[in-house]
Amino acid sequence: MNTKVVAGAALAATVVYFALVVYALPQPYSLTLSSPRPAPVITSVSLSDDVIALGGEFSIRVSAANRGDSADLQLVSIAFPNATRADVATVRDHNFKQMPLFIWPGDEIGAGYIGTQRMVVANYPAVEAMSRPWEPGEAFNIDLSVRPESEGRFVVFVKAVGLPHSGDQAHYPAGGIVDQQDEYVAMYEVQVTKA
Amino acid sequence: MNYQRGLDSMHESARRLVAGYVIVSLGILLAISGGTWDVTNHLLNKPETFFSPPHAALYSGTGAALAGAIIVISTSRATKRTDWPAKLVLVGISLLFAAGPIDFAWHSTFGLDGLLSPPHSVLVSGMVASSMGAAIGIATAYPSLQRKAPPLPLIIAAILPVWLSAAGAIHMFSLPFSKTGFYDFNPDPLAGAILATIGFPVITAAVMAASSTLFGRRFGAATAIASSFILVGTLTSILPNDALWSTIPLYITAIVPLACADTILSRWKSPYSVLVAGAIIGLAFIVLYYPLITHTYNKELEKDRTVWASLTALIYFDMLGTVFLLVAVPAACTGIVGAVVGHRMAQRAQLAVLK
Repeated sequence: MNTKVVAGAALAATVVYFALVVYALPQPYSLTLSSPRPAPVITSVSLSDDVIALGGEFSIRVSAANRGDSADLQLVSIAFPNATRADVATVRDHNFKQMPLFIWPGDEIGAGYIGTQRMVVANYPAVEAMSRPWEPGEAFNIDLSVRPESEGRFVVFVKAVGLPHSGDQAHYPAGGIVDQQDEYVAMYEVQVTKA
Repeated sequence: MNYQRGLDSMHESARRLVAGYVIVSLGILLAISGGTWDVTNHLLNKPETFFSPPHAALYSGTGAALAGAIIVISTSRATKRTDWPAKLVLVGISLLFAAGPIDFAWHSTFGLDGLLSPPHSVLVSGMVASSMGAAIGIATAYPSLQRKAPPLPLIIAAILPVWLSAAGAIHMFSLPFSKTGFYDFNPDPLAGAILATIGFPVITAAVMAASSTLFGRRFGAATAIASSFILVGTLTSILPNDALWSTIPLYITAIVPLACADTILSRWKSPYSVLVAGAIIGLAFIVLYYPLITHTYNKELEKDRTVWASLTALIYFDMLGTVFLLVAVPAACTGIVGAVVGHRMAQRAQLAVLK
């Protein structure tokens, strides 16, 4: 066969290929793909005490599950808006896939349920426990010991976020108080009395 | 009698050299495949320890490469002649082994590490140096042993690790995976995108044109090496992420333009054939380096969008048309440059062997 004909055919095949792959196929391909819809749920939060004396400590156990699709990353955040130091809490036990992270005031943290694409500066400490990935049906829990720094009302914020955040089902709770990350939290509290 | 014994001894040395270089190449192939798998593993599972299956593959490959390097160096010493490919292998292997303890210490100190880090830079430099040394060693030692060009499997074993290592180096300096809680080595998004647009077409076209030339401009070598690259990419970058499985057929089609380029190189004996083939190969990079390039271009085009592992394919298809329009001309031009350089380098290697 004429070599120029073969080369020309190869060139034509290349043009057709790029037209198909770059412009024709992506749209139908995209229709077969969908964003997963993780649905994190805090299944239980238990505090060891309602009232403690200053200098003492209480424990908190948070359990969470994913009742939706697989999450690339799902996290449970336990924050302490009255505290100034992340070491107000100590991790006693956990079964998350990754080590829990301590967020200190001044640290940059993701906000608005979009991961690290929108960053804000933390005003108060938190502990973030995550599993990456978090498959449907998997449940994880974390036990913390907390020693409040001052007397009065000691508040604890708890939430769970599934990423990619593909809708309102991807965060827990669905509404209520908004925290420093513009994300909904459930509030718990312990009364700290004079020692 | 003595003359015959001398010839036998030379043949034995050349045979051992070729074997040593091939073991180095295969070791680096395993190591760089483990490295690419490690990148995917970091995206999916965020491993926190040094001891992970991809690291096991990476360092097993490094061990194999060391064994090959020992054969090369001991054979060179026995013949009292250490050629520069052997020296390059030695430098590369030394870098690889220096990187191991540094990487372990880095993981122990900083936990999760970024893609671009001092130990990883040393590691990839070692892979590039030793794979290049081994490839040149095979290209020069084999013809002196058999009086003919290396067979296709040997060309693939020699060149594929060079291609993968060079691609790994470009990924390292273009992907936004190097920011951790301790340091931020992420490239500027635009600089990363420019590096990818220039670097990937150049190395792809250079490797394919060189393969074709080393194989006597017959059809098959360039296509076979591209198929091997696609196989490694499928195994290490796509298969571990089940959200990407449905895109494997599309990824495999990257072989179509590359086989067309190989056809042009083998059937059209005009000086322009290298240029046309280079342009085609350059353009194909946009499919060939999926899925990782999604992160590179997304960082520049859609700064507020996170490429989660499960969304990679969706985002890739969403941006493909726009990215192709932006990179088509530079990718074709740099592909031409790469093809010309690769073709000439292979011609020089062949001439050097003939001399």
